[in-house]
Amino acid sequence: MTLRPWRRDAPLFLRIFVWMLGGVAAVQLFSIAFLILLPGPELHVFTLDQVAAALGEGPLASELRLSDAEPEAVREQESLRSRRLRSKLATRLGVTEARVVLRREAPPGFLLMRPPSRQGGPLRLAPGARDARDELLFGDFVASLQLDDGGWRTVRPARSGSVEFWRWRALLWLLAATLAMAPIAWILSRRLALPIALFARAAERLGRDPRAEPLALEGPPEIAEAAAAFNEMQARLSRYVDDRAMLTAAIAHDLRTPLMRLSLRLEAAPEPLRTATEGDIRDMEAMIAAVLGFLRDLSSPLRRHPLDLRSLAESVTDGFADRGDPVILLAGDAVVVDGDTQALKALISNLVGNAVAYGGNAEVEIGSDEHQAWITVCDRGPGIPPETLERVFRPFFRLEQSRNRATGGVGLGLASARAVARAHGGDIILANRSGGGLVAHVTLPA
Amino acid sequence: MADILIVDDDPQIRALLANSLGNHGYAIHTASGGREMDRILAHVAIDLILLDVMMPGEDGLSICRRLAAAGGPPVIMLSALGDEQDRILGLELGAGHYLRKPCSPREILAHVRAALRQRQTQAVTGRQQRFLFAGWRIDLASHELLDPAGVIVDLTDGEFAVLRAFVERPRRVLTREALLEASRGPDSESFDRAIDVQVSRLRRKLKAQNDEIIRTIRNEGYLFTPQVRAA
Repeated sequence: MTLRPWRRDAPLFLRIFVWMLGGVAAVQLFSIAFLILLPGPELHVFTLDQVAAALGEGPLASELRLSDAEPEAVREQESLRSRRLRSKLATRLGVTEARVVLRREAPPGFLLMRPPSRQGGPLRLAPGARDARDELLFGDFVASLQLDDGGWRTVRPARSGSVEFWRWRALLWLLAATLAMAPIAWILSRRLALPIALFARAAERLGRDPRAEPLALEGPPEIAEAAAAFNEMQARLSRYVDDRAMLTAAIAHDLRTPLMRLSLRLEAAPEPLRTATEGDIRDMEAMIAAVLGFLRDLSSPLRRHPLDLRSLAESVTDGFADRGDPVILLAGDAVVVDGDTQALKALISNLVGNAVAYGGNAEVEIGSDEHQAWITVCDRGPGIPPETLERVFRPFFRLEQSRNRATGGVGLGLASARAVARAHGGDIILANRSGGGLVAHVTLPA
Repeated sequence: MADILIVDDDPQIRALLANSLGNHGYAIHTASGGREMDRILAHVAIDLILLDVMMPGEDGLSICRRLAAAGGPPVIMLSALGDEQDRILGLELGAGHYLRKPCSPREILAHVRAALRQRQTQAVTGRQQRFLFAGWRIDLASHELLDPAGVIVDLTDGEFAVLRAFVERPRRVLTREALLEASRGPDSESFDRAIDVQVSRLRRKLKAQNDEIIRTIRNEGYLFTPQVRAA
């Protein structure tokens, strides 16, 4: 093949161009070979004189066949030309038009003409004929004359049907050409689709794990460039994740170490001071944990494993119920999702915690259809203003009602929960329920 | 008199911890990092190591792995990271206990005592971490339970403690008191729900009908029926 020497690094554009060109050339070669190698359709042309002679017991042209078959009734409307030809034939035979029947097949559009047979003498046009077509019969025809005794004399070309046969052969030939092209088309499509499929797989892998193996930088320049860009993006993403992890670790270390010292120093402190300060430390620790949890949910590559969502929800709801909160989990089938146990547990815990803190109760339901698993957490509290349904997911956003309450956290619970859901390829939306209360609807890919 | 080694890069925390534990009669040694720890281990028979995770140079997880591989003394990890994955990683690497900073001196003391007590029992029983029963797989170190299809089934600390007690003593009737005692391990959080509730929740999560896996023995306690194999 001509493209072998520069095949390795030939641009994709050039490859497709060459393959397409090759394919088109191959089809053209087929068609040309067809025209050159195989005989064209044979179409005989007869003059009216030849036909009249044959019908009128004159000399029979060798390519005409005579029989005494009765003509089939002419079904379709006789064309003007047929009528004219028939009337001329009748005139030449010296009979009335009614005794002559002429049926013509419409000639095909594409013909290889043969000159009229010479046997009937040179072709003469009858005087007054408007053009040659009024004196000639092309292709298949059947001309019959009713004899005086009521019998019939019928003449037709000796070899009929050759045009029809040629048509079918041409069709088969084109079909064969198309089939012969199919492997080339297949190879071309495969070569086009292969790198794209590779990208799709790599992108999918990257979504799950930013530290996945980089793509191989092989193939035509376009693909290699795209792969390089993709790998660069992956490296940036991975650095970003690393930076986040470093930040998380730094915050954790730098904030918790002084708290640890404080906690150890309190051992010597008088009881009332110790209890109060331990409470402060717990509050600060809770806030640090919330911020770190949020950062982790935003950034950490998830450890995914098939898990039983119901057992997870049971752990959460049982925990709340043990503390005396009115939390129930509705019964249902087991739901298995591919996910991170701790992150999903934190997600459910956040939503149930919110429902209990602001709605006074929580009703959790889990289910799945063929596309996704879902979790709903409902309460019968006051709900929230419709314009804040989306805003409450912003980090550190808190509604006034929660700012003034002891229950108000840092404002990261919902942001964290949504980050987890989205990291799993799902989402969370909030809605006010008819009849009062709020519902959080979580979807996760099954 | 137990010898305890505190490994932490923060000098104040080292001093405060040494002071706090020293008051309870332990012999305290301190090290600021892995290398110093190795020097002390070469000279002193240490019974327990309190190990900080985030240290410059060799970090606590790596030290922990090294100690576990060498059959060193038990380790209590102190981590400022403190999320679940960090905890699981620490326990998987061989730390017997994991504490999140900040924690009170009382918590530390409780874990120190528990770890020293366990050290004696574990010397006899050895440490088997993974078990199979009725198609299920439980990993005591990473706190993971997998069902026969390989799907993670989440357990609360209380449920896990009960299951651990069952798995470690299969086909034996365990009284409620024995279960309560066994499950009051140092890893378990406050464990005040009645054992019956934990058992019924455990049955639900094991998708066990009635007495299928955990059989109730009237007036005695519970019997874990499946055969348990080390995995």
